[in-house]
Amino acid sequence: MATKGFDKEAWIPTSCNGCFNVCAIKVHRKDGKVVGVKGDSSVLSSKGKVCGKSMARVADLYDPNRVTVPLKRTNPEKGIGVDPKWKEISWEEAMTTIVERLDKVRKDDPRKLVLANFDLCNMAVVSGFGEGFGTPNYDLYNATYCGSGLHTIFFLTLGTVNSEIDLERCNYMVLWGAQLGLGANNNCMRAIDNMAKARKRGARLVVIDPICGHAGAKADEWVPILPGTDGALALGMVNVLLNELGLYDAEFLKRKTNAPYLVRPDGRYARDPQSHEPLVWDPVEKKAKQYDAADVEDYALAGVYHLTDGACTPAFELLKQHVRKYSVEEVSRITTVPVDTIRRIAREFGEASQIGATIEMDGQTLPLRPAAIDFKRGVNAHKNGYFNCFSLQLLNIVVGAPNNPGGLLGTNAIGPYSLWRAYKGKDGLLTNNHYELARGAAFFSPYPPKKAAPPDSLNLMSLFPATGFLPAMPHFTMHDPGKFRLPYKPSALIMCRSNFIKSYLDPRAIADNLKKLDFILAFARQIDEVSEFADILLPEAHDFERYWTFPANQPLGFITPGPGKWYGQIVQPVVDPPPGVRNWLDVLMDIAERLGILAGMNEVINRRTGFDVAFELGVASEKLRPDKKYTVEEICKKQVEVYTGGVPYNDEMFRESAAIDFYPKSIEESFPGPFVEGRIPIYLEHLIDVGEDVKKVTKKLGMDWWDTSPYRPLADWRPCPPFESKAEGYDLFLANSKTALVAHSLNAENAWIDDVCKRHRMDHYILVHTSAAAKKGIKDGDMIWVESETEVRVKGKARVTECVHPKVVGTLGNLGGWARGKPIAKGKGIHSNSLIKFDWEMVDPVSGQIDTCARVKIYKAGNNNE
Amino acid sequence: MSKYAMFIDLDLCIGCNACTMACKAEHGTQPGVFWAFVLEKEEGKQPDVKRQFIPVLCNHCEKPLCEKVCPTRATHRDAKGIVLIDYDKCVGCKACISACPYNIRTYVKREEFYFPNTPIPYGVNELRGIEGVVQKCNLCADRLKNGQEPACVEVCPTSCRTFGDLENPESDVAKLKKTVKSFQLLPEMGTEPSVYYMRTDRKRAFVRAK
Ligand code: SF4
Ligand code: SF4
Repeated sequence: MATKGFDKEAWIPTSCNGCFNVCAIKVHRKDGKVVGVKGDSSVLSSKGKVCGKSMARVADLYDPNRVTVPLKRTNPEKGIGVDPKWKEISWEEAMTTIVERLDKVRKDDPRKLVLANFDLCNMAVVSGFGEGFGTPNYDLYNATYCGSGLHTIFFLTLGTVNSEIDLERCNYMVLWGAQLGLGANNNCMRAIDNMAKARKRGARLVVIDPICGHAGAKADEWVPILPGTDGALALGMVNVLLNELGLYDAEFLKRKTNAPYLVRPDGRYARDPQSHEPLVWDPVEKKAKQYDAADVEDYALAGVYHLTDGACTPAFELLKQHVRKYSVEEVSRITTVPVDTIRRIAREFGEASQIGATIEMDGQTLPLRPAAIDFKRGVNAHKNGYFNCFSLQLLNIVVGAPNNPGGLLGTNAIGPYSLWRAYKGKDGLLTNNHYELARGAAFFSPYPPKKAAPPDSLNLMSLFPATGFLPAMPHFTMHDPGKFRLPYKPSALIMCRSNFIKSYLDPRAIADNLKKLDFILAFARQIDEVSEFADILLPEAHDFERYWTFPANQPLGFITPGPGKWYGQIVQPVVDPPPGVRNWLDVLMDIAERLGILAGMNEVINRRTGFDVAFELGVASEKLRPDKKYTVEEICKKQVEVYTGGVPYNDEMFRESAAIDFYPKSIEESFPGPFVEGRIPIYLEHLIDVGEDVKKVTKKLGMDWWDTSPYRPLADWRPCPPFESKAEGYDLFLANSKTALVAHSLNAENAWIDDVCKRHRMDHYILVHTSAAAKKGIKDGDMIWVESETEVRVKGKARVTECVHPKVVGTLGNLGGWARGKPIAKGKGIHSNSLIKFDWEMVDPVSGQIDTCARVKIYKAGNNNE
Repeated sequence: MSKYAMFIDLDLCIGCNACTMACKAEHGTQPGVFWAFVLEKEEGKQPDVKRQFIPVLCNHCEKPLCEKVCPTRATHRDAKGIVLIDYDKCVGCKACISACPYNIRTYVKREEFYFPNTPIPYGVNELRGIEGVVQKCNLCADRLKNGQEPACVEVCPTSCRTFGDLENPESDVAKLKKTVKSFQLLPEMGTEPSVYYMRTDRKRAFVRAK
């Protein structure tokens, strides 16, 4: 039955989900069909602009390859390329089977159920299902997309999940393995607008990346770097700033970081014997004082002080001495960046930060640091990713850029209504409640660290007490539960919009994992690579056809930091789904009802959506009742009431605009740097204890192979495992970059996007540097093989170019699909993740980050298609 | 009288192709047919390599070579300077394709859809059933009539495209023409394009260290 009013022509405001960014859009409905998309000019997230992916969403909606009926696999054999031999079944048959299978799992051991999804804004429902069911394993998803190191470091140093340069004030912008404002990355449309204005204003853009992608193309200076060596370059630059130029923000370091904390010879803080709080040295009174004592006249950053604990040194002095080993010459050898370039960029960055400068805002005088380094997956996706990110962040920290005007802003350390908060935690260091709120999306609060314990969940969170994000571990634990002393073997999987067989490492390993499961339920719009392994497949609604929980733009990640306002965006249906197709979350709630787990589920939803708090405060009229099954639409509308402080949802609210405004951000919310009390660590003292703790627990478990050596308080660079490989002939490294049109593998299965990419000079090609091509006799346009040490090879067309590091083979987007249900994406471009080794040696034992480096060789494909 | 012109700031364009897609959505062009698209050029060697994005569309030339060769007068320049094709008159002889130095015209032999037998619904149906003709950008003539800007201009997230009437001295394009150094593609062909390219004269918020 058609929804009332859906036959009327209108522009319906909603939020796009062409990538994870949820920009506000308006969708044109005519004769019950979607005929166009434009930006919603009333909302800051798009200001009336949209990207090509969004415009092309009409082609997703009307793709005849969409799944519209429940399907059952009839071929018991599973594998890559194996035809599931689908058979259409009724919804009732599907639901009966699903409930029967899941019920069996639940009675056996509920922890054996795994949920994988990338519905970022709907984690409350998904985690509710997981917890209601009784499994801790509800956060497996697109494992290599973002980062265990990255998000953890942002937690520690910015007090939140993500980062963005303050583009409105920054004069020296460094994008390092990131493309903020260039068509990829966070808050996409607003960042593009701000970046364009910044560049027009004359701000300088330096891009450090093995590939000259969209960011490199617009850079004033593109610095090609060998993949995975970013941490070394950053530490070399810290060395230049601290030891060659003496260019750093001493005031910031003294008052806003743990740089003055005194460190004992054993690496731990010197502590006050009574309070056990860390000590600093007051050079005026010449005595040690508690770091937060009101009477500290000044903080020593240098020198050695003899306390009862022995000779103690300020953390800053330790860092300063430590980075000496990253001499510019040595760093140049590691990274291939010329000595002069390293020195010059370090100096430019330091000078541009205008240490000491201030700006008047809102009647307050704030520090102004118009230089910032932003970094994302390129820096993070290495075994040393955690310390790579920390090393880069040290550059921002020593010039005082974090959370200050002009510098690097955390994505809203302090959120609306103080729901999101960053504050002073253990030992005076920065901590926040964000990661607990984002739980369900593989986030865990990394500070203060927890105690290590034998693992109970697939993500092994109890063996990673100092990390904040663990999406990548379940594939390892599913592969070999015994190795990790997991007391059970997973047996069932529910997945939605998480094509992890394409977004993870070597698909052969993932295929093995999937084959071992007894039952797989997939919700799918297209039968993608991972859905080919499903036992039952249910059709999923397009986001133009469904509600989401509210707001679509969680301020944790989807509202541009800095001045502006708080607002909440809706995802509401524009048209009806094809007959029989439903919102997967509604189906999930049906399943919950039939399994009898509604009470547990609703309790979690109450907690994660804020219904609990709102109800207590009298803002919400009621919270979810334990025995009642709700729809996503009902939850969404209830949340509107919560966010508006008690104004009940009505149909007019989202008729003209995709968002409702809460209130303008205060100066504290815009620039939390000067206001938040927690200090930023430059010295990770807590890692010493965590390392020892993990060592004890793993040893007791008989897991002596678990490496705890990287648990060190000072940042270091370590080479990626493939760097040390002895295999002969693999003379090149693999690197990948995103494009504005293909942010996720799902974008590749879009007829319009494909049609545009096909004509492009780079998109479907393998980038080979001119010199490497000459050496191998490869000409532009030749078919070539890229073969990795794991003896996997992929074939594609070579683009001979200067836009890639000479030692690197470059690939773009997540392409090279093979699913028969995605005929458009199939065989387009290459799938570079196939070349990456699935091996525990690729995992960082501190953060759980996996390395995506690979050593490869290239050669021409023969005539007989060989 | 008016004389439409478009200025494209190459320094700002990031090659995102929102314009390409907006054009496709606006007109419902068929697979492989693009009235607006983005070219890419690479120049130089590391460390001085430049990757450049160049958005292109019909130049709506003041002296269009395509019009000159069109035997049926299907291709004509209207009073506002838009070069249009009357699809009723076009016989698909392709003379204009050879004559146009900018390679932005496409001969459409048969109407095709992205999905077999399932046309994607479009806001407009201007091209439904139009086959055996040459097609190209019409500067969103219908949108202009409604007081809207061309789709590629409205969508561009970097706002690198400026559109307006050169005859109106108050318009942004007239001001740009006067104040900014700009160039047209292949001026030596004598076509006098209405599409101008420019590079932002960037102020220096940051002074580079020696
Ligand atoms: S950036 Fe992503 S969310 Fe925003 S308009 Fe484009 S596809 Fe949609
Ligand atoms: S939309 Fe604008 S920035 Fe994007 S490619 Fe087109 S002209 Fe360039």
